[in-house]
Amino acid sequence: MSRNSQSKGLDWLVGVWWVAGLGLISVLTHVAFAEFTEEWRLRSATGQYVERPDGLGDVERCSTCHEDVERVSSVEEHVYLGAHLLADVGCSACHGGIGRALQSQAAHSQDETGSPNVLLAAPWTEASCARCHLPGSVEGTERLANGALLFLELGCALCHTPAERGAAVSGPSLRGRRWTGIPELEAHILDPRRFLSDGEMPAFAPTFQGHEAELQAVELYVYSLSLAPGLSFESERADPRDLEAPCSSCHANTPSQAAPTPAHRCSYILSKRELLRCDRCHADKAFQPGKPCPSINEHRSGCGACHTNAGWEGR
Amino acid sequence: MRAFLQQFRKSDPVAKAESTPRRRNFLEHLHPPRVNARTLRFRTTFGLGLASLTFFAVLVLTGAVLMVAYVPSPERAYGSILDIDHAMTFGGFLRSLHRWSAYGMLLTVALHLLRVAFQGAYNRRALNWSIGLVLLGATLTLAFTGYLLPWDQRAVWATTVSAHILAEIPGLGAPLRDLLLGGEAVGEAALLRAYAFHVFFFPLLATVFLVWHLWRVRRDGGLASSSDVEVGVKLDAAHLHRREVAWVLTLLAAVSLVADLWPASLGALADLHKPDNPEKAPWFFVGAQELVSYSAFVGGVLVPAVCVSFLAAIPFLDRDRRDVGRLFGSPSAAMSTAAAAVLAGVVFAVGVWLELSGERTLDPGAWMLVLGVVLFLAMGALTGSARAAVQAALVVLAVSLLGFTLVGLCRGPDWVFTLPWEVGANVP
Repeated sequence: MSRNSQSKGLDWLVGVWWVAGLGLISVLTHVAFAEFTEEWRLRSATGQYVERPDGLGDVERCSTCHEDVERVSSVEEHVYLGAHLLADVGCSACHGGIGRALQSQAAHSQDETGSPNVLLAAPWTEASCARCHLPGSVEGTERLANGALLFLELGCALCHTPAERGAAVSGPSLRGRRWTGIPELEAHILDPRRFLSDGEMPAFAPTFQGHEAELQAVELYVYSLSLAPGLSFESERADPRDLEAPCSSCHANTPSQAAPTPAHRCSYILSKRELLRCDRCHADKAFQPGKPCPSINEHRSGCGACHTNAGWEGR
Repeated sequence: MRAFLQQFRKSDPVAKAESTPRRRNFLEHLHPPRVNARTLRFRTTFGLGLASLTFFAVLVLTGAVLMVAYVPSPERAYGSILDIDHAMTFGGFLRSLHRWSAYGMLLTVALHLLRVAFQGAYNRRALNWSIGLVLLGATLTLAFTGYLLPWDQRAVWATTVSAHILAEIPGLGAPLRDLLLGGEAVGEAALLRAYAFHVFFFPLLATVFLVWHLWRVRRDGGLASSSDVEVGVKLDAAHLHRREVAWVLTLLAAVSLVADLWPASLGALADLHKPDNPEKAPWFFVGAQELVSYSAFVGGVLVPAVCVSFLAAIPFLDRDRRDVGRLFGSPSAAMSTAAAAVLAGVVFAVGVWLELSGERTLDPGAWMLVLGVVLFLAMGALTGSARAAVQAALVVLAVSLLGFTLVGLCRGPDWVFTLPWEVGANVP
């Protein structure tokens, strides 16, 4: 290679230097610009330590922008905070979002996976209650409980079982299912064929015609299934892994086993029996106090409708 | 424009370097003071070694900064990653840069190995080839240990899957897994160990071997080439430096752009009791996981053992000094390698198609293993060229690695084949 051609090569190289160097500088400038034009930088970052049991939120920085967060327990909408000290649960346990984040967009998205946050405002915040409480077991979860019952009564739980077992027709588990928002969820309920043309699930649009409140309750409940479980504070929300044994020991599947004596152990179902309406599906049947449901085996998958803790569906 | 460029020529460091007497520099133990024209050509090496080195440097620098914010404990690791991403100034960008550089390094290290192998540049350089293999192992271990640190769902279960694959090695597997995890399952000890391996032991090992690797290249007389390849006149290294700066700048610009456009992801907080479905190994081990899904012994033990032994043995299998430095060797060797590639692709496609359609006759991993061995022996016997035989086996290895990784990435719930755009797809 002669000296001349080397020089030409160097001219070309100088071009690469310029393009790559300027490219690098532009990218770094963009990064710096994005970093320093964050909205929160107009304020000074503040945060507080939150004693949250799920291990996620030991620091929350919401008060950086939401200056009223310290006074929030006196605000009427936050009745639930009467039982929850702000220092114990923080904001994101109920409202979702990333409590540690300072950037508005990240702080207000549902979680790191980027799904949008529908929990910020009523009525959807109620879904968060199911992370720790059995629907209906505490004040303020009435719609959620109604949604759970409708989920059982409309037969949703027959296919959408937690472990995809015990049902004749199996639909996907709704645990941890990510929704892009309530509209997507609603469309899946009202017209599932839009998403899966050969799916078995019927359209529920006629069912909910004129029953908007019920539809919202079901949506609330199904959305609650997508949320990560918090800690079970209360014994009534037992770990479903413990329920597995009692279910199978009571509801034997094979004739060779001892005849089932289904004294249903789920205290929750018994305590809510007056709310259970078998006649929604079985016109000739009503729940009879003291008498177990004869078709309990078919409804076994319903256990998981309320016991939303994860872990039951481990492969 | 010409006048503008003229300014550069006046202060042209190459001209300056060539016209002034040289001063010796300690770094010349690693980097040559004079190079031949062939070394300067991009297509000689494709800059893959320098690319790996650049990514490694970025990884060390960004990693050192990330160390001030990361806490290696199960209770706080995930939160500290959230802090890095969302509260630390430039934290998110640095973490993203760290992750993309790691992926870049894995890719360039693998391609660098293939480039060296297909040029026959291992010839009479068995020591440096072995050092390179150690560096490949260190790179994979660094990537593997780094994968666990965010302590998200994917990290924990991917590590669990990989540890289970590792434990399949008879005799050695379980102790190795215990060494890595500090127990049988991923937990507190595993995180702390992964951290110690990731930030100290393996970077140290990699640095030592990297310096040795570069020094050996220098000791062995620069880039390998047979005497029948035109080496050209020796030029001052300033020519090389200018090209290196251009390449490093290009790589830095590219990786920064990617890191800025696609921030490193973080999944949900790890739940040690609830795996997702499917749970996958890190993408660079998904090929191994796919093989293990056919057969734990073939995929977890036999294939890796044969591959590692083959790679280590390459410099001793092929001692032919002809066409060293020439990509794919002589025209006939190149032709036979191309034929081997086509054959490997066809056998892979048929094997996987039979597997996916449930008509398995033989584990696809075993198919490819048999093909590799048969092609190696057949090429050696037919062409009489050890180079062609080695290249044929290497091509089978490369096609298999790529193919099984792609199939593994397309696994959905219950390990059912699911294309990325189908419902339930889970491409890491």
